[in-house]
Amino acid sequence: MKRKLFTQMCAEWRSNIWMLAELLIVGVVLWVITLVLWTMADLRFSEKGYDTTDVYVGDIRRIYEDSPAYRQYDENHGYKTDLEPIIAKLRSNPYVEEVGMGNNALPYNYNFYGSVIEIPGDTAALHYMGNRRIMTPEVVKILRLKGTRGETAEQLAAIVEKGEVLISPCIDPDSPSPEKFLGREVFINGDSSKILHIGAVVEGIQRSDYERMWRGMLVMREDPYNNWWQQLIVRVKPGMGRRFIESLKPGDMAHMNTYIPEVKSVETIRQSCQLDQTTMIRNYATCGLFLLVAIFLGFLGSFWFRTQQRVPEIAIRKVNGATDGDIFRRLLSEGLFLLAAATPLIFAAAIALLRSDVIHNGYGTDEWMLYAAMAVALAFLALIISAGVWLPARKAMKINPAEALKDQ
Amino acid sequence: MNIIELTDISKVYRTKEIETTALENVNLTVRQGEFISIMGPSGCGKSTLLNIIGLLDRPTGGNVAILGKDCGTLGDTATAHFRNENLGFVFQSFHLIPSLNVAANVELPLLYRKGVSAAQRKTEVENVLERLSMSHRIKHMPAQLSGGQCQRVAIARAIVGRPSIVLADEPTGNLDSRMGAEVMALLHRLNKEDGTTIVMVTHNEAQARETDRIVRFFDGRVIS
Amino acid sequence: MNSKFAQIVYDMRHQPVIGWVTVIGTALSIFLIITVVMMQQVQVMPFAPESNRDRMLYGIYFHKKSIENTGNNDSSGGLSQKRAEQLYNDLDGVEHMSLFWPYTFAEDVEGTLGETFMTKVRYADAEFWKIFDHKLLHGRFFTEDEVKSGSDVAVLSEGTARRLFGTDNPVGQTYQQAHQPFMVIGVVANSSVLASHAYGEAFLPLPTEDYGDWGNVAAAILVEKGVDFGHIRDQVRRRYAEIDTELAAENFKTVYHEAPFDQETMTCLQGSNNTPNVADSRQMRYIIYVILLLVPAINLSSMLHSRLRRRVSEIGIRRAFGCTRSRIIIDIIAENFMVTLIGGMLGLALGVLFGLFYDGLYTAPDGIATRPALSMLLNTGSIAAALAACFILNIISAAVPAWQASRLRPVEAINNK
Repeated sequence: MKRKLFTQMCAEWRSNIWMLAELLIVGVVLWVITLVLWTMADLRFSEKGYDTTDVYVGDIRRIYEDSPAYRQYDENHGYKTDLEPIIAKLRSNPYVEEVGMGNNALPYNYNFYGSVIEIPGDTAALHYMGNRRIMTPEVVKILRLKGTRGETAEQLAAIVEKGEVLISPCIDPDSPSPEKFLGREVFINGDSSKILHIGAVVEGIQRSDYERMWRGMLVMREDPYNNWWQQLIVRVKPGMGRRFIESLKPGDMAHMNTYIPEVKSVETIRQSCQLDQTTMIRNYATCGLFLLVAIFLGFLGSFWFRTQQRVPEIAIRKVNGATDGDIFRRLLSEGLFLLAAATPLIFAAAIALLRSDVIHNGYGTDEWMLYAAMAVALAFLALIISAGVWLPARKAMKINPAEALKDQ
Repeated sequence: MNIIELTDISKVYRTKEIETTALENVNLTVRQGEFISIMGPSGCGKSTLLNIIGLLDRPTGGNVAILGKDCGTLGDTATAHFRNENLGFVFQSFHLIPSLNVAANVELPLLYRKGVSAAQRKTEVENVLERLSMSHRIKHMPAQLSGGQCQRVAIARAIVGRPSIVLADEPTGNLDSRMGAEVMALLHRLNKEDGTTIVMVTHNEAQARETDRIVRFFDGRVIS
Repeated sequence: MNSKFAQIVYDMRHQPVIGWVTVIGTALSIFLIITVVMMQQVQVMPFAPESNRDRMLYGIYFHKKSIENTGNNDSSGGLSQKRAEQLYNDLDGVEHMSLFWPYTFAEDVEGTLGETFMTKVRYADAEFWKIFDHKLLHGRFFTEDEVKSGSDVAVLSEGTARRLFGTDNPVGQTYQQAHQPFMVIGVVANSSVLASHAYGEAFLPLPTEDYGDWGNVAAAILVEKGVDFGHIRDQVRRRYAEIDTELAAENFKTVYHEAPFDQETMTCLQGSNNTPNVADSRQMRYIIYVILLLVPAINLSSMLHSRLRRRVSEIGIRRAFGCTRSRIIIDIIAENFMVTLIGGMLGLALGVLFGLFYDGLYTAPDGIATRPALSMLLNTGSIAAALAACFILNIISAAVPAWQASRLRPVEAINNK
């Protein structure tokens, strides 16, 4: 039976070669798409060392002396004291869980405040580079940072409170392990006059969900280069974000010469920050879908035609006792046979692509995923081929042998 | 004048295993204005001969001259043009193009002739259909016509380009006797009125006897 | 022509599945191609207020690093006003040069209606208005003097003006921006965020910056008609060399990244420390086009092959009546082109509708989803692209089947062997 199927397929080699070529192209592209989408999904849904759900943020603005709206301070007050009543008001808001301040504290922006950590007297050996994230201890709790040794956000907040620095691991192979700095005295950016302590190692805050921690991260309570707070960060009680925004009264977010013009959820910032990636995911997915539809249409059309051509043959098979199932299985195995024939070609093309470096493995894909993505791509093809063959096969099953043979 | 001159024509079909001789040293001349019929049992090579005269097929050996022109040396495109100018075909199963209506089917040879305007084509088609009493069917599709009507359209198509020779391969084979007689009458009329040379392959002894000459075939040879 | 159309209708009726597969396959392919084309087009085609995109160059970054063996300092970023002027002022072959902020930033504003809201602000100098054709509805643009003196004047978009004052002509009135009063001197028509360099809801005179190498400024350069971009770049390269001599004293040198950039290059920037690679992003687009054309072409080819297998005897008849082989090929390709065109038109229509009604296909750099105007989607460019795609699709799908059909031997074809 199988041998005969093969002979028949050889007889239709012209049409089959086209379908093989199509399967080859689509198979390879589908593999690439699967790989990209899978890698991105893997990044997106990987365990993060922080949590931004229910977190809101507002940029802190100031009115300067040249503005007519500027209000003169007395000797005990200044910009820095302006924030206190604003924070106090927020803390008394029933929907608010915690309030803090940060500079470059949140993910979803692509800033990189490069900071190099060095150990006095050991500058050559250890040279750790990280993104400086400045935050009050409250923000450590708000973001629910996680220590690599199981430290809770509260414990980490206490460490930051003491003025010690948290650093994170990263995937840069040239970077020294952050553990080496634990408990040691260090200085940053070459300024050996300010000695700091590394208090704990924490999971890093990525710049976006789709970017791995290539370089490390430093969490500090104070910025040695800038002592103005730029952002007010609020964690609201679970799901209370909308109520919180609605509860804000005009004037709540302003005092003297400091004001917060807009409070946004980190979620909206995330969406606009990751627009490029979501667009890319959507485009890849659309492309993949299109190719699957193309394969579906291709198999549907070709097998429809084949069925038409083979009406007498199918009729004779039926006369000789073939069941509908047999007819269906025959057509289906013909389709899957083609896929099987295309598989080594797809593999070869994929290997060639990898070798030629056309596919930049920029997301750090593991090797097993290359194979897994291939399996997924082939599974999709098998599924869609079955769907494409199904309609013509149903038509073939409906053939009435008596009528079909009478026509001849 | 000999309008068709076949000299020592042979046709051999070769496949890997076997060699089949369809025609062997056939000599045949047809004079201008002659209506001849070719008869013989199935598979004797008469259709092959007709195809060779129609320049649809090339002989393995021998020489084909039509209208005094040695056709063996013509290239593919020149052959196509020569067929278009000088030859008309009528087939047993009509071979009208199912997707085209009567007018478009008849128009076909003119479509492939250079310098014939659409208006000219339209007039020619109308004239020839008028002549064959098919004007009322001009917009019909082949599927809407009877067999006899189809063959009349096919004849119209064969003669619309005013060829010198019409080749008819069992033109009445698929028709009942009444329609067959009608088609035969038509061919005779063309032969008389226009002086068109007609070469017809037929199985029908009675129809053959009405023609000017009968060429009998057996096993790839002319026997009379 | 008529008979070809009749043939298509006949085929659709007698082989509907194969016919529909052909039309839908074509439509899908053209739809996606045209969508990719339009997404690219919107980024580079001229439209108000960026009507001069094909004559625009932008200088936006500055990059310097330590001279070898003196350290490994490597810094890059946006241009300071000083560097922008040094590099791009008074170039030969330039019609206008404007210093402006290449992006907008959000500021809180409050007008006479009392509502406080965030608005997209852009800083620009007076030349800005000569390069970007914002339509002035009321008042005037700010002048060079106003820019130099740092006047608190503003040109608002129509939408912002209405939201602040409840009227479309608030010229002469004052509003608060970040608690600073600004006087409205002009109102311009709303512009699309897709005009990423010219768009804004409020325009303010460019503040004088006093930074060293880096700042937020960019130079928009409108090149004179007929002047080659290379001529401008040659001059800029020489100016980089001048800065190099200046920097040499501090052991620094500039890194030149082929600035200033044209409109297309601006769509594929890779940060201030890399030379943008237009070729790469083009190549990616071409690969997409090839895939989008090739895969359906194979389908269409096999469908056409099926359709022609049903018409073998017809081809034989045509040959018998004097049709040449080349004519067979031409006729089949022409007929197939009509089918492709039907599918292509469907695809183009789908692409335009999709662009018009689907949010998020076209996004401005600062993450605002928007929908382009019909004229941006449906124009000679996109129609030409759709036609070209149809044509290529037709040729690659019809070539082989048509050639095969033309090689049929008439005798065998007539008898459909």
